[in-house]
Amino acid sequence: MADQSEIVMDLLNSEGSRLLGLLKRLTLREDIAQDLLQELVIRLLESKKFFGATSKIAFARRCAMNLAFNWRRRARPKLPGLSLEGQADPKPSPHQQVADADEFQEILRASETLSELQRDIFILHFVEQESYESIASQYGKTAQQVRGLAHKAIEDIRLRLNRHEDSSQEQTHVRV
Amino acid sequence: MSGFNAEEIEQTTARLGQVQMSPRGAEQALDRARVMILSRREELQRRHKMGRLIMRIAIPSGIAAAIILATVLSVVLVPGHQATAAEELQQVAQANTAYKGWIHIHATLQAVPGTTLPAPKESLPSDVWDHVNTVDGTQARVNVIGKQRTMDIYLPSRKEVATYDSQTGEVRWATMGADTAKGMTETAAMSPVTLAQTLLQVKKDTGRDPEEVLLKRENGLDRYDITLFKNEEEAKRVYQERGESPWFNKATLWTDPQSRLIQKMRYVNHGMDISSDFTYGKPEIGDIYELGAPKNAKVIDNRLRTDLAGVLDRLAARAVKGLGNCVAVITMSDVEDSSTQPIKGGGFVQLYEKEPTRWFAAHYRIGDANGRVAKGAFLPVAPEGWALPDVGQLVGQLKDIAPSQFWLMDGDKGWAGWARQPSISYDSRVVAAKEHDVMLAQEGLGGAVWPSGGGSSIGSTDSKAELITDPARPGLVGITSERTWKEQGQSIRSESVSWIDPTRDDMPVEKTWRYWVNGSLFTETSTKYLEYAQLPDGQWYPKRWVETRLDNVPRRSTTQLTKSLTQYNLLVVPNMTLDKDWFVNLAEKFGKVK
Repeated sequence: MADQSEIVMDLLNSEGSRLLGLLKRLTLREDIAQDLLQELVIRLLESKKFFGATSKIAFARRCAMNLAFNWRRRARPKLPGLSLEGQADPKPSPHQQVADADEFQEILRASETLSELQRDIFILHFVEQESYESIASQYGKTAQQVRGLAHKAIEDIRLRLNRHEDSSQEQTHVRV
Repeated sequence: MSGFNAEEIEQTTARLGQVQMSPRGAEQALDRARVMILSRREELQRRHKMGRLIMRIAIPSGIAAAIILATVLSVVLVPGHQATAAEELQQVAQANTAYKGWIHIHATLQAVPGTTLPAPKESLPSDVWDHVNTVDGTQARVNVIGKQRTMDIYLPSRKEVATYDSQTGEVRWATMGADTAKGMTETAAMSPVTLAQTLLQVKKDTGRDPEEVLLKRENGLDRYDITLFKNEEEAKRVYQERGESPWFNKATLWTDPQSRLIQKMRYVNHGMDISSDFTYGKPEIGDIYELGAPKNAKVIDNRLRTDLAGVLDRLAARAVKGLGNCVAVITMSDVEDSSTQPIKGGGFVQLYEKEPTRWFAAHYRIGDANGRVAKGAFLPVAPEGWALPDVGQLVGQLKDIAPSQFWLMDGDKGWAGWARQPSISYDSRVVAAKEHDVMLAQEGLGGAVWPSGGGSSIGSTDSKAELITDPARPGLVGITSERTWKEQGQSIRSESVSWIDPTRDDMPVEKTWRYWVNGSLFTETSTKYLEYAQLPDGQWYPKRWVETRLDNVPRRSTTQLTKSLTQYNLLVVPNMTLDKDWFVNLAEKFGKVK
């Protein structure tokens, strides 16, 4: 019987940095990403599904995305307080970093309203830059279906962001 | 951001994709995660004693590979267009199985260009020498990794093990437990049967015989080119489905046409091209120095003193004898403190049975709080009176439930299996007659009652063990063991203390296990035995005990302490038996084995 902890250790050694990066991008908090990695490891060690999964990394990433979005739901009232330390070089100006952080947060918040499948595809393709074919193989879909879901996700996010924008302006107007 | 359009969203998300962890933060998080995994692994190994035993008695890989192929193919090939090769190979299998004495194998390993290796190239051995004596179970290995040379020798006839590492310049000695020594001796002789059964699974997995066997004469030797699977994808799929590390798909054997003994073998595994040369008979190796360890190397002698070895042998004998002929149940349930009822109506059950010629052990889930287990793999409602149910009634309820693990023997045959969830399928193997006592001592009721070397680090060359007494515990005897080692860059230490009462059949009284990482206590379990009883023949047994577990879960700058208590109750019904329907391969009865 394969040693289960061995499999998780192998995954951590080969993919740990990528998983941490994903957690950081979805939480925009280095400290939270560190904690969620511990949670992820515990889940993988205890998950029988993980050991039966054809693609261990795909399973782990799905699990990481769920953990990150669960955290976002729980932490929503306190979400500001972003940490973009570690942003790739060349680093944006401080002003640009703040602007980026706001935009990232808005998009991630909007993506919370998507279905889990759409959200995963959106994150994997547009944030993690993974090809439609690769995502399709992980989710048992065709590349065409994934492409469709990805663009539907973009459209839903766009509508949500603009609706939010409209309602903010409306509120501002009323207040004035 | 005002007036979002799709392109802007894509651009922003692409920028989000550039956000990375700081190198230091990533390193800290990964280190903490590694520590957590190492802790779990150690705990699992400690709990699943048999895994450790099997690891110790595993025969050298080169021999295993050769024997597997020779034996398995002889069993699974059917007459047809490959009949000649199959018949020839059958004789090879018989000759190699019948051979008794020393086998020496020198394997050279080379990375296959363009493949992914299981570890950095510089950490993989370039040369491996394996030596095994199939008569007395002696096994030795020399690994060459760059400039480093490591050696180990297991001497079951002397119940000793020795290692040498050229990097430390140390020869270390330790004592093997009686059960491990017995297991190694017997396994050396019966490995072909067990391993052949394991690989028979290939046929079940693929629904057919090996893909191809070709035979030809080459330089005076018979050459067999064997392909197990249709292609690498099928091989990968099969191993993956079975939850095993990929073995090889193609192999070539060269055998002597007269003696039929294997002379050479070549196969590719994990990106390594492995060529082995076999020789038989002399030299006989009886010492680490005969393997090449320098005679002036520093010696660290962790062999057990006679008094401790005697106690461990006595405990091993008690574990085999168990509580006599009976059916017994151990219930495990979470409690808030040692005097309370179970927190929830469920937990785990271990069911045991022993008769003069057969025995049974299996683990079951009671209730399924998290829904991750397939229907039929747990008893959905805890039995009446949980956690002290009526044994007869519980046995009836468990009959149609798939166990999470099982070990059983009926006369000369038996099976062991480990369930893979969430679907019910098993990794299983046949248990051979010679494993009867070894397996019974580890996995039977006796193994759950009495502490043994297998449950601690005793027997490892980097561990120390001794027998102690304590004025505060009059009449009791303590067995301590301590092991320190390095793994994944972490410095790890584990300690265990088991107190037994020699005046009451060596009943366990108290035990503690601690696991330290880089000087910080990571996990601690302490077990207190609270109630005892006697069987009609006067044999003592523990009725109730509670294990307290403390975990220090690493967080950002601190650790979070978690505490859990598990209560165990042992219920024994002397002279009760399970009917014959229990003594079948439960993997086939319950599992979706292809």
